[in-house]
Parts: sequence; structure tokens; C-alpha cells
Amino acid sequence: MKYLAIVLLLIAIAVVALFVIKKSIPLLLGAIVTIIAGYFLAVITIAKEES
Amino acid sequence: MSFMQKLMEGHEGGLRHETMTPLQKIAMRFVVIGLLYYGLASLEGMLMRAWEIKPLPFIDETHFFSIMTVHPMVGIFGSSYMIVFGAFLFLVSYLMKKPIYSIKMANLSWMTIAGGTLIMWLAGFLFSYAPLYTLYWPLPVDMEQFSAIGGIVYIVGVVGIMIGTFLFTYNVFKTILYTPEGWEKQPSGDLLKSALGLEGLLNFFRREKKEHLVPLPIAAISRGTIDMGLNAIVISSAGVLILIYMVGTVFGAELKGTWVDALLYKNIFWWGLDLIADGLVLIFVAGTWYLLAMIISGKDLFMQNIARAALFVEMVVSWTVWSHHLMSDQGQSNTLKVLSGEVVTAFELVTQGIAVFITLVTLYRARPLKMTNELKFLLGGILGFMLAVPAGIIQADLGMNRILHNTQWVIGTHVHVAILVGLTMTLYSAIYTLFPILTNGAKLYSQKLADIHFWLHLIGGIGMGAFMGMAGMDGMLRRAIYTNGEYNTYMILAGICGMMIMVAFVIFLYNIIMSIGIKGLIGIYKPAVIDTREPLPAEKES
Repeated sequence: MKYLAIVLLLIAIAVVALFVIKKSIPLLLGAIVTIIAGYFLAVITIAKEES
Repeated sequence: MSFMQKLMEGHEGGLRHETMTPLQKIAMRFVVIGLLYYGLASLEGMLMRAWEIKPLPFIDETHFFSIMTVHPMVGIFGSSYMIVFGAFLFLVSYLMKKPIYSIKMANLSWMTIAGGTLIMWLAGFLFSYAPLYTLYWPLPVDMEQFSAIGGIVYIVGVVGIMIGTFLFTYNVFKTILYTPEGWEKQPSGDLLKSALGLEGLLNFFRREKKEHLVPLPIAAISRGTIDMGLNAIVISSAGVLILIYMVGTVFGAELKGTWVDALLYKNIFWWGLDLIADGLVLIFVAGTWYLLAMIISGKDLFMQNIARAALFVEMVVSWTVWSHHLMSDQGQSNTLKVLSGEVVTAFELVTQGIAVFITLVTLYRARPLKMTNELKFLLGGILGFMLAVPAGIIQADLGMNRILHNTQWVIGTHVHVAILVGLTMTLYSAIYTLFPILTNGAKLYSQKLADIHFWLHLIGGIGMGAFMGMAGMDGMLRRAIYTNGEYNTYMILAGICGMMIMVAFVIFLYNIIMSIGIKGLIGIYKPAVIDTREPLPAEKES
């Protein structure tokens, strides 16, 4: 299931971000935007499964 | 009929579970377990209320904090999530007028969330794992205070809850978007755009507006489910991080807590958790209010397009408000404190205010209305948020936050009034509304008990929040123990109100059990006789 694969990837990205970001606000905001965009992509794959 | 017969058989025939579809049973399974976990959370709450008056001899300080750790998790995931998931899995199918995508996935959802909550609770009960629900770094991996096994058990429980949550999100979106067998091909892309608000956004710029493909409550469920999925990613990440450290400890690996920046962790954690508190709660509650207002009034919702737009705005706003949890953190960027913590947070007054206004006008225009249980509890829920949201905005002011941060004001006047009065009374309204639909017409045992339930819960909930808040304004901290009776007057009054909430729940539970009967209650968990993925039995649909 592509949805699950993307979700697991986002979890991995977030775990790495927790180690890497430290005090950088741009990186923090970048991580947030990445997770939001990534999750929308995951939900879009559900629609694509049906088309 | 004797009392025992009535208890077993239910009121006026009780619940005939053999007439229920699998989806009706699933919804009831979620709701029953959600209510039982609410009872557990209530009991935990009363133990803490009693402890704050006078330390209980059978609960030591460490265990007080492990109760405090699991209590919000049981309340949020074990109770609120379960009740909401049950209702929404049914409503998505019912309102979209199509079969649910997967009965198997829906069943797996309630089992994993219920099981995960129990495992997580056991980490507190058996191992006294007590880093508090906020899991502030590096507290969860502090091996001097907590055992690694306790932490691993806790995270295994959280993983179970998150698996159930992701299954729910997939099932909801799939049901909205898929084409059932034998149906004309559904426009999945357009349905998704309508559900998430992109069609509405594009309509602002179009001369010829496109029709909304999903009903308004489904739009609310979809947008709240986006926030739910995002939160589940963050909670899962925090869980994986903690698990890495715990397993490292068990295998003798030296992992330094300083490898993770504590303030950064707090930012990501609260970004995630606000997707529940300021995201899905407000979006789901608004959607539920709209649905209840339409059902109760029998009319279309007032200002429907504005309601849709506000749901979209609330979803986006919820992604940006997390810094109101970091206003007293010296290291937090001032720009984030002001823009995220104050300015955007204040906008929630507008989005939630719009929801309150639209709901009340819809009801007002349908007068005269009978004061049914659904209407009473809906109005109680609205009152709860009208008290708790301004309380939250007050504390999300840089100046006021200096006084109120980490005090009983936050957890009393804001959090518990929002959850117990705002959210729970909305859920009770939904339960009373859906009760005849989910049970194929079972009758409520006692209206008098429902009335007592309402008043005890409303007065107890507002009272407990108020007295906790007054203690907070006098300086009583949250997450702290006071042993010299400094705030005893407020704590005794809060304890009395807490007891009222608990008694209200017991009365409600008794009323429901007497309505459906013990046989009906057990029957909910038996396999369905009817084989269908439709929400209602065939004769109800025709």
C-alpha cells in the first residue's frame, strides 16, 4: 500500500530531523512543510488507486 | 418485568443485535469501549483530585505521576478517539450513501486502539513509567527515574494506537473515494478536492461555481482526518526515538540524550499535538455541530459555504499555532512566539466563533424546537467551547502566559472545560442522536436519568474547571504536589465537582445498559448475522 509506505517514510524523516535539526528555525519549518506535503501526497495515492 | 430481567433484556425489548449490520456493530463496539475508557479516565481523575486534597496512603508520589501520565492518553486515545472513530466510520458510509470500504480494517482499528491503550496504561500501572503525556525530552529516556522495560511497554502501546489510527484514516479516505462493485466510476480526484476544500478554494476565483461533491460533515471529517494523520506521524516519530534509546539501554549502548535538542523536540512534539487539540478537535466538533444542527432542526445549515471555508481555514491555522505552548521557553524565537503563538492562535477565536454562530443561527431559525437530549447536550458543548477557547486565548498572550504558564488555569479552565464540557457534551449529543439509528430503534430507559446526567455533567465540568482555574490564578502549578494544604479550599471544591462528573457518567452508563440490556451489550461483540457493508439493514434503507 503506497499510503503506508509514504507514512513510514515520513516517520523516518521526522526521526532523523529530531537528531539533525538542533537550533535551526528554517530547518524546523522545512521539516514541518515536508511532513505536511508528504502526507497530502500519501492521501493523493489513495485517490490514484481508484483512478 | 423484574429489575434483573430488565437489566438482562433491556428496555422495551432492548437491543436486537441480530438486526444490526456489521458497521452498526463496529460503531457500537468503538463507542462501548470508548465509554469504558472514559470511566477509567474518570476514576484516574478522581484519584488525582483526592490526592491533591490529601495524599492517599496506597498511592506513592511516583505512582501519582504515572497516573497523570496515562490519564490524558486514556482520555484522548482510549476514549475520545474511540467514540469519534466509531461514529465517523458509520457516518462516512451513511452520509456518502455507499458501503464502507473495509469491515476488516474497521474491526482491526478498534482492536489495535483498545489493545494499545491497555498496554500503554499497563506501563504506568505496573512499571510506574511517568514522564507525563508531554514526553518532554529527555524525560522519557531518563533511566535514573524510569525503567527501560516500562518505557518499551509504553511505546508498544502507543504504536498499537497509531496503527489503529492509520487504519482509520485509510478506511475513511478510501470509503469517500472508492468505487463500490457494480457502481458507476466515482470521480476520486474531484471527490478528494471537494473533501479537502480545494474545490471550495478554487470556487472563489471561478465565475461558474462547481458543485460540492461531498456533504459538509464529510468535509469536516476529511480535514480533521488530515490533521489526525499528521499527528500520528509526529507521535510515532517520538515513539520511535524513545524506543531507540530504550532498546539501546537494554543492550548496553550509550546513547546520549544531548544528541537531540530538547527545545527542537518540544517544537516538533507540540506542532504534532496541536494537530489534535487545535486541529482535529475543533474541526470534528464544528462538523459534528453542523450535522447535529441539521438533524435537530430538519433544515439546511445557515451560511454553508462559509462553514466549509472556515473548516479549511481551521485546518491550515492548526498547522501554524504550536508556539503558544512555548511562550515561556526563553530559547524559543520571539518571532515564532508572536506570529505563531499569539497572532495566528487568536484567529481560532474567529474560526470557532464562526462555527458557534452558524450552529446557533441554524437552530434559532428552526424555532420552536423541543429541548431533546441531543439539543441540550449540543448547547452544553457549545457553551463549553465558548468558555474554554477564550481561556486558551488569554493564556496565549505573552504577558498573561508569564503568570498562567504551567498553572492549574491551563489544565483546568482551558483543557478540562474544552475536553469535558466542550468535546464530551458534543459527543454525548452525537451518542443520543445516533443511538436510535445504530440500534435500529432501541428506546432510552429513562429520560429523568438523562436529565440528571446533563445537569451533573454540565455543572460539575464547569465547576471543576473554574475552581482549578482560580487555584491557578493564585499560583497553584500543574504537574506538582502540594502537601501543606495551600490550595485545599479550591481542591476540595474541584473534587466535589469532579465527583459530580463521575456520578453523571455512572448514571449515563446505567441508563444505556438498562436501555440495551446486558444481552444486547454482549451481542454487539458477536459476529453480525447480516452480511453487508451497507450502514443500515436493507429494510431501513428502503
